[in-house]
Formats: sequence, structure tokens, C-alpha cells
Amino acid sequence: MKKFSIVIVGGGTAGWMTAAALSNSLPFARYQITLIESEQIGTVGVGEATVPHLRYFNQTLGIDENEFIRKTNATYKLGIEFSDWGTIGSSYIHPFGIYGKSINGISFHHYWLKARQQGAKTPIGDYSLGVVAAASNRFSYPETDPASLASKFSYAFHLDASLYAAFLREYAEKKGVVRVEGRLVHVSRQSENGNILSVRLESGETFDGDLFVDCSGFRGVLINQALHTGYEDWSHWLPCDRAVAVPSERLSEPHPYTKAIARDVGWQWKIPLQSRNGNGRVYCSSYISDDQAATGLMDSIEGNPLATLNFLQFKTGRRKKSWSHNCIAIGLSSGFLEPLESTSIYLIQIAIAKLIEYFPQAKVEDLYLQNEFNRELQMEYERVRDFLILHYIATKRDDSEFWKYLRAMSIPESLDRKIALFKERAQVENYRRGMFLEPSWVAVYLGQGVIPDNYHPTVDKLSPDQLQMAMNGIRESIYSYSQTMPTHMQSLQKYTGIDQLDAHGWPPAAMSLYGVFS
Amino acid sequence: MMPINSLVILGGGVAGWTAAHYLRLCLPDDIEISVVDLSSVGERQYYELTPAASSFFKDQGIDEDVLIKQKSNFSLAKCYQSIDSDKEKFLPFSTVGFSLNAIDFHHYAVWSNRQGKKIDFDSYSLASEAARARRFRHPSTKDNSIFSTLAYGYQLNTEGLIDLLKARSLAMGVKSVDADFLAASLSTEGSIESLSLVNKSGQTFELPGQFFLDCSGKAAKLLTSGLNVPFVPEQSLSFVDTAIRFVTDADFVKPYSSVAAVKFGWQFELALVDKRHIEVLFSSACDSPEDVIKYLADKYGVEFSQFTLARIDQGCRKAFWYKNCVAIGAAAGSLSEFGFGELSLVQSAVLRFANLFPAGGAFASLAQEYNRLTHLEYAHLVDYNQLHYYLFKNDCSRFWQQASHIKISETLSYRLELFKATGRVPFYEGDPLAMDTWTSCLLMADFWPDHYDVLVDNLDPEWILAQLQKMESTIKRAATAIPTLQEYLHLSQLRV
Repeated sequence: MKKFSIVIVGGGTAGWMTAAALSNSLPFARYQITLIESEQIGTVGVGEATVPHLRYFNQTLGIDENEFIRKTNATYKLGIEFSDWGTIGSSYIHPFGIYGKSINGISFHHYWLKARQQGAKTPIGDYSLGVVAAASNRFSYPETDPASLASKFSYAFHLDASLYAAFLREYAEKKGVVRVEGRLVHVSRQSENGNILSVRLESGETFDGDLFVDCSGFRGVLINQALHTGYEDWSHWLPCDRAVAVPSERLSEPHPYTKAIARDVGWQWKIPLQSRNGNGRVYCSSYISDDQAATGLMDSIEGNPLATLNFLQFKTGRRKKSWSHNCIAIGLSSGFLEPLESTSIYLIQIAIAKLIEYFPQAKVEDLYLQNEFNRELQMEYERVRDFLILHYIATKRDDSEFWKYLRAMSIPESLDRKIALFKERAQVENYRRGMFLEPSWVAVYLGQGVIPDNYHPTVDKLSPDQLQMAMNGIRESIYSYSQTMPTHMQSLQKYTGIDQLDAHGWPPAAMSLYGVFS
Repeated sequence: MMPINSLVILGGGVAGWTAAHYLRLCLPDDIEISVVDLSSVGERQYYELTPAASSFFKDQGIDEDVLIKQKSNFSLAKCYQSIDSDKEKFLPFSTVGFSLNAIDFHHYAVWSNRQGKKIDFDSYSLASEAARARRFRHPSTKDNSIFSTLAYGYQLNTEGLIDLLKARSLAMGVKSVDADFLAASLSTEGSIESLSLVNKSGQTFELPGQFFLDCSGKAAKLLTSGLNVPFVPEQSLSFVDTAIRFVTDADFVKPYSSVAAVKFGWQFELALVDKRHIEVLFSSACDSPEDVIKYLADKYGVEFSQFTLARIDQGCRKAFWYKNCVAIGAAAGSLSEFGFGELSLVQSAVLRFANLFPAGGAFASLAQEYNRLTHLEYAHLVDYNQLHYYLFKNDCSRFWQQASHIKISETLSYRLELFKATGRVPFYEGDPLAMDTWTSCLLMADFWPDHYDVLVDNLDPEWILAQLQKMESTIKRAATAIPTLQEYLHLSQLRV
């Protein structure tokens, strides 16, 4: 029987994650997986900050987490610190975990709001172990006892995306994926149905395929250049359209969180790896030149730059169809959202999971599978989009034309409704699917100064004394637990050190930002 | 705006007391709750409840044993019968089968069917097999036990429940006002300020409140009077306009409810511990109530006087939360009891309202969110209702000829087409029914898709067949280890 042929165009994180996952789920005897990549084309490699879902991906593939950390130069990540977003000088950490615990069925932030009204000054982050540990540069695995407050967080990694791609390449090649070096020059399509028949490389070599996966990045050589699948432009909501990135020497201990610092135009990231820091600035070309952005970046990094500046251009939005004909776009070819909340690798991962769940039948262009796949991805992208926009509009900043534009901007109805609901009585719109759920919305609302006057009336069932006792109890147990946690570097050495080669003690992973037991 | 410190519930049936009891437990004491205990809200006495009810009761400290002792019953599944077959098929509350190789069980069932090896989908469910054999036990709390796959709901006799909820609510300080409703007085901006009521001795008085729940039944006295929120009939189902109900003795006790497509329309049956409650839904344009009653009287040997006849209006309010008033129960809407019965909707509405309960200040967004979620719930249930007409279609009678003209919704068409083509049902946010319920319902009714997850083809057919056989025999064996419901009720001293 002829094997079903899958051709992945483009290496990088998207390409090799796809190749590794497919080679794990599809038996070699029946599927031929080819990955075409060109060493001349660099990868974007900005996706160095990840979210806890990646641990689930690795778990599914049977990857040794500690070997993965060693090979990708990774550090642990407990969340993202946002500075200067709500106002210049303000700062908060969006943790991979929940706040406190719900009491009488009502989420903790309602209790925090009441305590605040009564004069309490404690930031909500003090009630999240993820935040407290991150801020004090500590890390250890979450507990596996669901009753413990120390089980209510999760973690991800800062990693070198090109090393992760190399790591997955080794994995995929062992499972029979064939890598082909070369630059794609031509795409042939079937006249009767428009499906992609084959791709030709510069070398003249031609590859036929039943299914093509476009992991070629922004350009989308198959989904866009060959199939002309339209693009839904979201840049009126997320106007940043450029980024400049540069790695630098790391002079201080790596913090177990990503930094995202708002600037007068756009924002800047800092991602500490074992070997270096990743730095970059996301900006909008209507308000600032490349040179200005680059100077601003170079002036604010720690240590000497380790490479030349890497400039990127993009347009925020989503491919109207991630799956069109017999081609599926995964990664930046299917949409671009700035890496403010480390969503790029998550969106790759969810597309891969859906591809396996909706794996095409013999008739690859099957419209039913295709529509459903596209409908699910659209929902994921739109929910991430709304969450990102929130960062730009939950602010009092008006110190530049950029921030003034954002203040005056109209926003999607789906977000408008959510914000109104929160402002009215601290209610977070509840949905079951999507990357960011209640704790994340609470983190950004409260962290950026959207503080509702009203909370859920059930809170008042606790007397002021009971409320204070409950709040203090949670805060103190989180603080004292955090004091028992080793530093980030100590844990990194302990869990992944060379003398720990046989250790397999990492905790289970879940498809959740908040951990297995939250 | 003032913080809400008084809530008036107009009703006093199972909807009103469910709301009063739940809200009394979760709201602080300075919010006063009164129930206007109307002499009649025209509610039915028997309902089916999904497994969500078990935690709903438990969270309120309501002992399930008390409900069962008051002649309610457990339920593991719904038994279906089509018009042209005597075969009983079971739709359990829990997932059918076990996933293999990270692929859902039902894809293997479809695979087997496509191979020409027809299987009975429901025989891969322990709950179905137990129900069929009239067996019951509580689910095991051990994840690795096969008995943990049992999920159960109730077939409820509300008589005891209303008394229980009322007594407990009163003990917690809920005020009961024995009166009938005359009118609502509105403020200049159209909110309700007070209710004009009349007591048994004919005296009229005003009951002021800041927030109101309309639990007055189908009449929706608050939403219609003054607030003028229209009822929107569900056009596709409006030809089904009459219900005939009666109660007869049960010859044995069954852990399942039943629904059968019959010549007149649908026959629903709830199995209480010692009684059967039967409801026949039909179209007065196709059959006269007299004919239906005569037929049922002959068939079941029931006196004419035992039948009650009711007009039914399927559909829901244009808004459920309007101004300072929320309608819950029949006041909010009504649909036939496929999948998610009316009392389950009451419980779900009470949970949603408690979650969105306003504080001081404005509540326009909370109301909008409440209405958005409730409309989604109804829309998906309408789909699920329409699905039953589609799956059980036949041309045995005028009713079913009429039913064949139902224009199904766009979302249901999409569900059916996607399932037919791929063996998958779509996920919709806000759907009260689990995806597994849709899948099981379709396959239980022998709506077999053309395709299944293609990754099944990567596995050795012999291995799959062996796994399926093992699954079936494990379930059969486990079912015989479950006591009969009769024995179980005796053993648990739930019935003497």
C-alpha cells in the first residue's frame, strides 16, 4: 500500500513540533513525513517564552523534561511580569496559577476587593504562590496534593527555540521523519480541485504529498502565496507591526518569569535563558522608526549584545482559513499575535492537537473536517486576541500618540462585553475553551487598574473579622511556603543537574495554564 | 443605586422554593427573602433530573435519602423506543465505552459498523446495561473502578421536595406570604417597586421589594404584567400543543425513565418507586384529546377522571432578566423533557442567577450576561428537541407527517452533517448537553456516520475486535455484580 504522504514546509518551532507530534501519533509503516527546510532562511525564534501547556505536549511525546531543559538551555517560568502597563511605575505578575481559593463558591478576587475597600493594601499577587515565588526568585515543583495551596500553580520554560527545534528534529528523525534541505521555488496545483499536488525545490527535486503543512512563517508560502487564503487584519486593534530582537549576556541570576515592559510605543521583552538573555522590542512603525526602536532596545539591555539586531515585520491578524484545500497552516503562517502573553507556541500546539484530532480522511480536502478545524482555531485565536487587546486598553497611559490612539480605539464587541461585566461587579465571563480563563483576566484587570467598586454579595456572609482571618491565613501560608522553596538556580541545578540523569520526578502536566490541581 | 436588601419571589412552587432555599444559603442575612406562596402555579409534580442535581442537593445539605424515601427514584439512563420496533435502547448519563489509544470509543463503534459488524452502542455502557436489568448502585469513588463510570440523576416527585425546601427555608428566615397576586407597581423607569397582593380573607396589601423573581409558572405574572416581556414560541415545535398526564401503579421499580415515539406523538414515562407517571404529547390539530384519552384509558385501564389535559406552549421569553426581575421555571420558558428537563433548567437558572447576583449599583451587564447564557441554553435544547423528531421520524400518523416538516435549525443541520461526514459532534460554548450526550443519542438511535477517526485504521483490526469484545464482556460481568434496584433500596433502607 502506498504510504500517505505528509509534506511539512518549514522547520523552526512550528515545523519540528508538527513533525515530532505527527511522527509520534502516526505509524511509520503507513505515513511518510517529509520536512523541507532551508538553512538560508532563518527562523523567527522569538517564541522563547512558553506556557505550561508545552509541558503537556512534551509529556504526550514521552520527552524527558530534564533532558529537554538541558538541551534547550531552558530556565523555569512561573509567569510574566508586566511593568508600566496600567500606569508608568506600576507592575504586576500574571502567574501560571490561581489566586487564593474560592470561599462559599465565590472566587477569591471578590474577597480581595472587599478587603481593599476596607483599607487593606496587600496586592492580590500576595495570594498567589506563583507570584510570590517568582518575585522572590524561587522555584520548586508544585505539590500534588490538591488540598495544598502549593498545588495551585504551574510552570513553563524560557528556552532557546532553535535548540528546541533541533531537539525535536532528533526526536522526529528517529521516528522516521525525513528532512530535506532546500528552498522551495514552485508549487503545483491540481487543475480540477486546486489542491496542492507537489512542491519543487531549487535543486529541481519535486515532492508529492497528500497533505501539506505550511510552517513557513509569516510569508505562508503555501497557504498564502500559493492558495491565496485571505487574511483577517486585526492591526486596528493590535497596531504593533514590527519587532527587533537581540540576545545579550546574562549578568544576573535568571528570574523565573518573563518580563514585558510597556514603552512609549509598544513594549519590550526580557527572557532569561541558562546561557543568555533574549531581548526584544515590539513597536508600531507609524509612531517610531526602526532606528529609534533599536536604540531604545540597545540602551536598556543587560550585558553586551551577542548577535546583530534581528528586525521583523508583521501584521496582526488571522488567516481566514488555517486549513484550505489539502494544506494546513500551523504557526505564524496561520496568524500573528504579538508575543505579549507567550501565545505563539500555544497556538502551534493547539493547531497540532486539532490536526491530530481532525486528521483528514482519504479525501484530504474534506470540507466538514476542514470547517470544524477552522471554526475551533478561530475561537482560540479570537479569545487570545481579546485578551491581548485588554493589556492595551486597561491603562491610564496617554504619554504618547501611540497610547492616545489606543485610548480612543473601538474594541471587539466580545471584549467590550467582558470588560463591562467586570467593571460592573467584578464578574469574569465564563467559558470552557481557550487559553486564558478567569485567573488570567483577573490578573490583568486588577494589575492594570480596572478595580470594580462592587463585588459578589456572597462575600458579605463573612464578617469583617472572618474575612481578615481568611485572607491573612492564605497570605501567610503562601509566604511561609515560599520561604521553604529553593532559589530558581538551586532548583534548576537540583532537578536537571548532570548527577540527576536518572531522575524522572517532574510533576504531571495538563492542558491548562493553571496546573493540574487548580 | 442602593445595594439590594430585599428579594421577593413570586411563586412558591418547586421553582420558587428551589430559588429561595439556594439563595438563602448563599446570600448574606441582610438580604431579606420573601416568597409569595401563590395558591397555584400550575406546576407538574414529577420531573426528571440530570446528574448535576446530585451535587446541587448535596451542596445545600439536602439528603438524597430523604428524597428517595419520599417516593422519588434514581435514574441511570433514558430508555428509547421507536414506533416500529419493540427494541429498548438506553441512553445513559455517562459516557459510553472507554477510549483506546487516545481515540474516543465511539469511533471504534463506527469502525465496527462500517466493517459490517453491527453493534448495539448502548451495550458498551455499564449504566445502560445495569438500567436494562433494573439494577442500581451508587458510583464508586475510586477512579480505577468500572463502577465509577455510573452517573445518575433522579426521577423526582416534587411533593416531598417542596415541603422540605419550604420548611428549611422558613427555618433560615425566609418569609412566606400566603397571598395571591393582583398587580405589580412600577417605578417611572419601569422597574417593579412592589406587588399588590390579596390574602385569603380578601384583604389587599402591598409588598415592596428591590429585586423580584418571577416563579409564577407559565402565566409569568411579573414578566407579562407591566414589564411586557413577550413569550417567543418555538415555531418549529408549536404544532405539539397538548399534553395528557396520568399516574398508574408500577409493576416493578426501574432505574430509568422512558420515551417512546407513538402514533399520537411522544409518550414519556417516569418510574417512581411505586408509581408510573405517564405523559403523552400530541398535536390537537392531528388528534382529538378525547381519542387519545380513550386509547390510553383502554390500554392502561385507567379511569377517565384520572387524566389531566394541559395545553403546552414550547418556547421561551424574549428576555429572562428584565429590569429588576428574573423569570425562573415555566415563567422563563418550556420545552419537552428531552435530555434536560424543566426542573434541571430551574436548578441551572438558580445557579446562574446566584453567580450573577447583583450588588449595589447597576446590573445591566449582569442581566445581559444572564440572558445571553440562558438563550444559549434554550437554543441548544431546541436543537436537541428537534434532533429527536429527526431521529425518530416515521410516517405512521398525521402527527409524524407534520413532524417531518419541521424546519431544523442551522446549528442542528451543521451538527448532523458534521457527524454524518466525520463521526464527530461540534463543541459549542454554552451547550448544557455534553458532547458525549449528543454522540450517544445519535448512535443509540442508529444514526451511523460515514466516517470515523481515520487514525483507527492504523490499528490492527484483530486487536480492536479483541478490545471491543473484552470491553463488552467486562461490562456485562460488572452489571451482574450490581444489585437490583429493588434489592438496593431495601439494603440501603430507603424502602421498607
